Amino acid sequence: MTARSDRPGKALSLGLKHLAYLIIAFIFVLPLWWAIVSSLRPNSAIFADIFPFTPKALLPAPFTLEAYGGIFERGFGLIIANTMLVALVTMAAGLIVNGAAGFAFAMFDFKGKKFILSAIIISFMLPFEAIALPLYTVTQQLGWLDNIAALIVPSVANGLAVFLFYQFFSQVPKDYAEAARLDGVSWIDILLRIYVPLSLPTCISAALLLFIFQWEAFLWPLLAMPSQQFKVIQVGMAAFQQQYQTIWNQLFAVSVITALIPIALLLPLQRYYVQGLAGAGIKG
Amino acid sequence: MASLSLSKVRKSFGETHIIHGVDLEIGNGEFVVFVGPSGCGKSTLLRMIAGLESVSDGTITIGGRDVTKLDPSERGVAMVFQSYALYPHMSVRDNIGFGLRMNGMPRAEVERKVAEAASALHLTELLDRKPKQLSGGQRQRVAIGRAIVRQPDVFLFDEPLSNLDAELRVQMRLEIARLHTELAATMIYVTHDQVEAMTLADKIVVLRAGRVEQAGTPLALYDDPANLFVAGFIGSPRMNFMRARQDENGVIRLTDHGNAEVSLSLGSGPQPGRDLLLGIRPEHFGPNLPVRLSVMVDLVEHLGGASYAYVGSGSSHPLTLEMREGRNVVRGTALETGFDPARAFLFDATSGERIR
Repeated sequence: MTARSDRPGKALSLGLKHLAYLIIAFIFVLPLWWAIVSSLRPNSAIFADIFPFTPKALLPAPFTLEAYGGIFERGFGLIIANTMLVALVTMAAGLIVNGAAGFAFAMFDFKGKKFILSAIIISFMLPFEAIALPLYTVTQQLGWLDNIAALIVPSVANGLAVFLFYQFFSQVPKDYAEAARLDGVSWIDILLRIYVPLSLPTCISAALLLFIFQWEAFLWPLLAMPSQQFKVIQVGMAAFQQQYQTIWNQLFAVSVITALIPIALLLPLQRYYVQGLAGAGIKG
Repeated sequence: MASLSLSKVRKSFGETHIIHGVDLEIGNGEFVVFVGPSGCGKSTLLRMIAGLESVSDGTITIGGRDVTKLDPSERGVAMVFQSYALYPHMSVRDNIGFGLRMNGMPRAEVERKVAEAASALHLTELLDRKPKQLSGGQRQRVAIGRAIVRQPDVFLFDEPLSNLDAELRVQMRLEIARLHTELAATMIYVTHDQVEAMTLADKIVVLRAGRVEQAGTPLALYDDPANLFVAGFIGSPRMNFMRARQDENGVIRLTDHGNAEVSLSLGSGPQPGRDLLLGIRPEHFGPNLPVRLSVMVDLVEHLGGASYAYVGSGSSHPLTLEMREGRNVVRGTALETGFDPARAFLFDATSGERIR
């Protein structure tokens, strides 16, 4: 009897729960959705349905792709390519450098290991702004200002990525490395053929970390590339807001592309990303 | 195949000494078992032979070659780990052949060797599986296969059966014994299980706190233990120890058992006034034997073939008696039993040394 009378109540509470989820999800997605919609409208109609608000504001009507055409005419394609180049090179070099460093910390005992490891952990707690000026001076001394190296080299070594690899590698049973050493396998092969295949989630996390770090970089590219011959995406985006006018639909189109590229990367790899950051357990 | 010798081998971590000058000769093709309680240094000693731990002092030679400072891969040893250490992302085939391939052996030859080892270990059907798809015993065999293909001079086993259930352990024990006969290779095997040690070994090395307490054949250790520790460690159930004293006439008497007289034929005999322990194995008790004891049974275990009666459980010197005909013995039975003094061992209770 109680069970029967409970059923509609349960269904109602389930329905309410889902409604609440929907509303929360809607609130989260709303800004991105509004940006997408606005990027698909003509510039003159951007604010048309907002003041006063009508539900039409959430639909791309009137529909046009002129904003996307416009930004690529103004060289946005090159900016994406520039950023991709910087981010991908950083990612590839970063995986090698940080992976090898994490492996060394996990495998070998050497003098000052604890101290260096602490320094690395502190390094990723420092805000970038704190090292921007000293880094600028070093870059200037090296003559790297306005050179792509200034964007890539300082970002290759990443404390958090080293720490991720170190964490993972030190959890892998030492027996694997010892068995391989008895077999006469070199350290580099132990790293590449045993530890790297086991650490795929960590590699993916670290790769995404490095990629997104570069993708989101704004202050440093602005400082390191004073002539702005070589623009990356965040700096390029800022340039769409000009002194005398803002082409809103183009600015939205740029924002949408800037947001969607990392999302497109992250979504399929999300599982590994979370696994890697959570320090995947190892079963022998 | 090769002989192996340890000479004054020591291991220290700073001020902490783990291995205190071990001397040991292991003959060609011998099966040697290092046995001892946890923390006695048996695994450390094995890892020092493998080259995975550095040697603080002394020398290790394999086949007459000083390997003390050599890299693990140059020593001609192969090791089977307690955890098996199978690479989880590689198939059985790749696991077995990995070391060979990494050392530049041609693919065809690697294939041939892997196939040979697999067939010897009944793994042929499993070559394409991943370690996680194998049972514990199968993983163990893969780990052994990985050692075999390298054709090492010396095989090292670090508690290889401790992760298996009891039945499988017996089966794998027989398999390892068979392997030793077939390969006629020198093998060193570490375990804390004295049954494994007794059944597998040509020679047992009993270690305690980084020292060799005694080394010899299983039966030599059983029949003639050098000290209290070895006597208590080898044999299952363990040897019984009864408190004893030498009276003014030089007669050994059991203080907890009505001062029963034990006439032993000793050489020099104990120093007067020393606390003594008389050791007698559970299977050496029986009725109508020269030294008579009256005991009260507080627990009985009937295993079918034999029964074990426990006496004085909870006291500092309890007794375990093995009875072949003891089916009617129950808790509370007053038992008249005894032993032959010729079967007894006398120890100094303080130093643990055997008194002969």
